[in-house]
Amino acid sequence: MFWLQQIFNGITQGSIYALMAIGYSIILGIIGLVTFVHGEVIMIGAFAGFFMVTFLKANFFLAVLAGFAASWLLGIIIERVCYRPFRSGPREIALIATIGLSILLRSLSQVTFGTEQKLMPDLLNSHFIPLGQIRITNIQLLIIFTVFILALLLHQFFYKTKTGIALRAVSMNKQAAALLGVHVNRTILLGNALGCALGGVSGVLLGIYYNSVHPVMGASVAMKAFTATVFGGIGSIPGAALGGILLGIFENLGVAIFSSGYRDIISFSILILILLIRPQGILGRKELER
Amino acid sequence: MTAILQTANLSKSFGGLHAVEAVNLEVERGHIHGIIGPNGAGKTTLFNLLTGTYTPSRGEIYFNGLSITRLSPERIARLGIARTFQNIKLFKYMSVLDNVKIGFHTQTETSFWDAFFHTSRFHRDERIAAQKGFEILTRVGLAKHADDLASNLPYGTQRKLEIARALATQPQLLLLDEPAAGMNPAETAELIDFIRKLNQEGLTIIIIEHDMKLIMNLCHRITVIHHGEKIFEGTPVEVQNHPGVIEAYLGKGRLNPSAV
Amino acid sequence: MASFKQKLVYFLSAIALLMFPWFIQNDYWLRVAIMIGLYIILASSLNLINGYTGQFNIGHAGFYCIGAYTAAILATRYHFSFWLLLPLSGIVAALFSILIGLATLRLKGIYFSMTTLGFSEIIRLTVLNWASLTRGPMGIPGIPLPELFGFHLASNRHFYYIVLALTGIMLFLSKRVISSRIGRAWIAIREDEDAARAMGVETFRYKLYNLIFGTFWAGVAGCFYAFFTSFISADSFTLDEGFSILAMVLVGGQGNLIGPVIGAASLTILPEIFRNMAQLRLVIFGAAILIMIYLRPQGLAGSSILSQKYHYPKIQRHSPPKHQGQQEVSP
Repeated sequence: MFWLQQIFNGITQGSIYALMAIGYSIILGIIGLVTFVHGEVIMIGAFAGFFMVTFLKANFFLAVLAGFAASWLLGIIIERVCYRPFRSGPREIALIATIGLSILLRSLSQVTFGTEQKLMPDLLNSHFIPLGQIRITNIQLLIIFTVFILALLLHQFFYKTKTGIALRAVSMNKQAAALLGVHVNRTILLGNALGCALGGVSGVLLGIYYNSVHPVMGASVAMKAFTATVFGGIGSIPGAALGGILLGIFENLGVAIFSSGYRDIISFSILILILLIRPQGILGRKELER
Repeated sequence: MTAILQTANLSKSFGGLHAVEAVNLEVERGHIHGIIGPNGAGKTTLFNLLTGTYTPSRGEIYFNGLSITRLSPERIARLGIARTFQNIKLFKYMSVLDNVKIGFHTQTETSFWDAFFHTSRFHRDERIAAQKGFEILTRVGLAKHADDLASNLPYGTQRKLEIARALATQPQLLLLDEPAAGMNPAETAELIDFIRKLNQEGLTIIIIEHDMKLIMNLCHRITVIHHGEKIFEGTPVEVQNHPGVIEAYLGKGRLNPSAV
Repeated sequence: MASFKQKLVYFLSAIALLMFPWFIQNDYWLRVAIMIGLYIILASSLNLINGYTGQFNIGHAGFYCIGAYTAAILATRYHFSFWLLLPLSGIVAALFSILIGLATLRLKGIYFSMTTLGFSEIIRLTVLNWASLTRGPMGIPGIPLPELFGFHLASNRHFYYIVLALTGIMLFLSKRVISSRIGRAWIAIREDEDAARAMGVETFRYKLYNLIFGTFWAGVAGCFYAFFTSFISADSFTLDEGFSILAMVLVGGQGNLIGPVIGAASLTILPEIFRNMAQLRLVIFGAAILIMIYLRPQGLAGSSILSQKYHYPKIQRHSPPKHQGQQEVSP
């Protein structure tokens, strides 16, 4: 039962990772570059949710919405500051720009929000729901439910709407998409904003799950998003989701065996193992040697 | 049998797309061997297979009778196959001479220790790279540009530098991917002479080229590739009179064979 | 060959650097000078990796941390000498880089970057959690003073000369490697990895050599830092520390030896001048990176060569026409 409990906790955590990884994958696809500012996007989303809850006494839904909106906005800024001006330059310039922005956002948040950890109020009256022998909280269920709904919506968006299809087209081939009449600049802006917004939501969910938000939470969290993306296979959104959930499960099992202080170390070891054994991930295509 | 390079059933597919399909190629030592075909026929993919940039999906490659099928590009380069690239890949922000010096990488062996303490081996290697590099630049007429940045050279001259750099590796087999692209007629004529001279010195050469005059002028044998498959092989005269070849080109409407 | 004028400049600056502690009576500024030296080693070693082979290491602080802890643990528990620990700390840091390199250097550059980022954080967390070895959050105090021929090197003046010598040796050896066959191979990898391989350069091996050489110096710097401050804790090796080093390289200009020196010096002095801005240190660094990228992407000391490389049209409305038949088949 102990292990079943750990697996369930892992799925909860993993669903948050999955959401981050999906957002990360969308950005990776649409921009064609890794971003180093994603951790800060998640952090800003978490703080947006936190302020919504503490100052406006908002409910869960509004907090999630605030995280979504704040990070969406940030996504637009990021695209304008880091990507658009450098699209025709060498790739590392845009990469460096994301690093600069990441340092700036993180240090500014530390200055404005303070360096200490902020406690997220328990806005859902957290309690256990008995389910057989494992203990499940209503918060866990709500998190999994939220991610599940978002994933469904995303699927509909990507396959049923014109904008979603345009997004996929631009991810595959910008020139071909432009020839087909897709407004590439706008689509890139939108895709980046969407990927960031999902990061923002996962930030809020993390804040609620751990009862806390912190200006430097971004770095380790972004690493999780990357690990989950690599785990599932870069370039595959279902892969990112699967990678996220598996990462959550492995991480929790590892924590159960060692100790919670080693959580990030475990997930990093998983990343190194994947890179050594199967760098293309579970669902990824093989051509990623340079 | 004096084939320097042989492929057996060489194939490469990307996803479902057969870029190169069951190609059997045989290049005689001392020959200039042309590879022609419409755009997208798989010629560059073939070069990428021969030099190890891509791993074949199926088939084998033999160089001097030894299989090089799954070797890395650097191993293949060391064995004596050098190449130029269709979309010029110079070391742009290095000097022209330094570009050629890289070609001597495999013939020198300076270690960290040698570099730290400027041992005699360091001095010997630097002398080899500088002297021989300069000789090669002189041969291709680039000596006066030795200290210029590679990226500052005009397009046609960059192609020459690519050849010079490839020659620096002392290859037995040289693969030229559209060497005349972007050159004016005078430069092309000069290039033809130069390639012929290299060949007379014993270098085997494979050329991909759209300039039919160059191909017909230089090549001992020509392989025609279409849709990734070898559709014909023969002497220039045979190729010019082969109906299938004309069709392949006419079908694409890119080249007028009567102009050949 | 350096001209006479160049030699004179080198000679005079060497004299100036040697005399510096005798002009500066203020111990505070001497400490700043020592920190500049330390950051020059860190930034220059990072520049060897990022600027010369075009890999993108963002977790240099992790290797620095390993060097510092190696030195601190071996010095406090087993009384190893400072002079032995300098190379030893470098070697231990380099061993970890081999592990990272083996896992990532065959893959696209981005895997390397993200892995170094994660590595840096993981090392810090391991240090915090493995209390039996590292005393966890309490840090390691009481690192003894270095000794030389029986003398304790205690004053800042002594440490100034040590770091000056280390910086000098590091830059000298780097220069020699860069202007050799090895350095040419590194730069060729940066410029075009496919072409480098076609020239017979074993790119994986040379990237690994490069990483080992660069991280070795980060380890050496860590050892120096441990002895200099006599107390270390995980707080000194956060991701922000790594980002600071990166900022120095980027602001100074990568791909040449003088850039990181200028970057390290200016970004170490800048927060000191505005003392009350200490907490804004990283805000300044982040902003500095962004400003540099817009105004002078090649960095303060970047050559005009690189400005050409980084020259990009401000607004691009149409994608450039592809050279016909540029890619016959795209996978």
